[in-house]
Amino acid sequence: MAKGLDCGTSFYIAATEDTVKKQRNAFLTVDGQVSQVKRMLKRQGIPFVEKAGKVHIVGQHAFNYAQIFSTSELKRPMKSGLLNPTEKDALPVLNAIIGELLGDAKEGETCVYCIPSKPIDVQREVSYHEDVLRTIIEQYGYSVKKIEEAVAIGYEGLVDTQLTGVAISMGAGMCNIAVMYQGMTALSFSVSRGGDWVDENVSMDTGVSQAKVTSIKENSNTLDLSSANYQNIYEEDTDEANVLIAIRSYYGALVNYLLTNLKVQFEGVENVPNFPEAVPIVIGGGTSLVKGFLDVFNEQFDQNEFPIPISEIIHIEDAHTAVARGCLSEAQLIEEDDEE
Amino acid sequence: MEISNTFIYASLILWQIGFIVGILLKLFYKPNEKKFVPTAVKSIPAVEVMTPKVQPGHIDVEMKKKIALQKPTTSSIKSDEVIKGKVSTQKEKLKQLRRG
Repeated sequence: MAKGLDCGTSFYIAATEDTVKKQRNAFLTVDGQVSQVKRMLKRQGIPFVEKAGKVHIVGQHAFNYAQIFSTSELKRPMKSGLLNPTEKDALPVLNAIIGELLGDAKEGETCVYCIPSKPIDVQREVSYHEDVLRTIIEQYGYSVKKIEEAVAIGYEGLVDTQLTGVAISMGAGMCNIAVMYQGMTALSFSVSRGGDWVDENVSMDTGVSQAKVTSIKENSNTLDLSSANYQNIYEEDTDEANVLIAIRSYYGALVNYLLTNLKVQFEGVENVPNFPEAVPIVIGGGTSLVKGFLDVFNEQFDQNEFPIPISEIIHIEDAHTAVARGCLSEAQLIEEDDEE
Repeated sequence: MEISNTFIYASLILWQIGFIVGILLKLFYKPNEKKFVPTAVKSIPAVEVMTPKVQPGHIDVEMKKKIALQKPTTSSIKSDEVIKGKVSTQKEKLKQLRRG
């Protein structure tokens, strides 16, 4: 059975034809005697990973603990879309997460995973990250293929325009962009700003911890970035309102950064195709899930400044799993081709 | 006495010959215009010329990385969220597009 795997900074998401599994990509190291800590965690049904005399709580539980106990440091196996170079315990945790999401392969199973495009604003190579993930997935017995994250969004959102248009994946660690023409990628790149960048800056401006900001962003019923609601929030003048206002400001700055860099990259690249007809922009990824996101995007978008004529801006259906589903489509087609 | 007279005559004759030759040379001899140039010429040092060279492009070589898998000793991870049901994809449309 073909599988698609979205290897995100914040979530790992695996998709098969009948199941979607999500795992928060975070962990927390528990101090204390290993056997005692393990017994306690088992009793409470909290998932953990043990490696080299350390016990790590993994996933949503770790995230919840970090919010409750502000002294606990939430660790991230990935940062800015790539393996976190400062996190020594990242690999065993990633290995365990991938193992749980995919399981062992049956004969001839294909797994397509996503990789980020080369970032334009940091000096990092993608190849090591790519090789580590490939090695881990292969270890579970899969035939492994990769596709770029934004292209996976294109496979889900640009099929009605013959895979022509602009695909944007807005993740926690980075945003990936692909300009596609008839299924070919004319231009692709990533910027190392995403949801985490919004959270960090909001946290610094408001004095609220980053884990708390992330939680408000993901769970708050009052968070709505659409302009009409924004005014109401502003008048309330509460602590939460300050956070929400800051979130909106930084979302605007993030979209502006993305669109400005897309314009600059497009103008600087040779042999980009001409788009005689207007094409859509399709957006997916967890950072785009916040209510009213399209309003902020439309506010920042200026057709007169943009190098490609745009017909519409679409927020893809089930944006959180779109990358995993794009990878799944590719894996299914590879398996069908192999059978033929 | 005879020897000294002979010597005097010979000496006079020689002086007369020398005198006449001197007058003749002054009248008819024109010095050559050609100037002798010293053969030791100052050598001018060679000037380095930047020859246009084609800079060869770099060749990327595949790097064989040894990645330590670092398997966990024990793991009790369960997925945070499992959504059961048919997962909708655009596979059929993609297939049509690829097969033209």
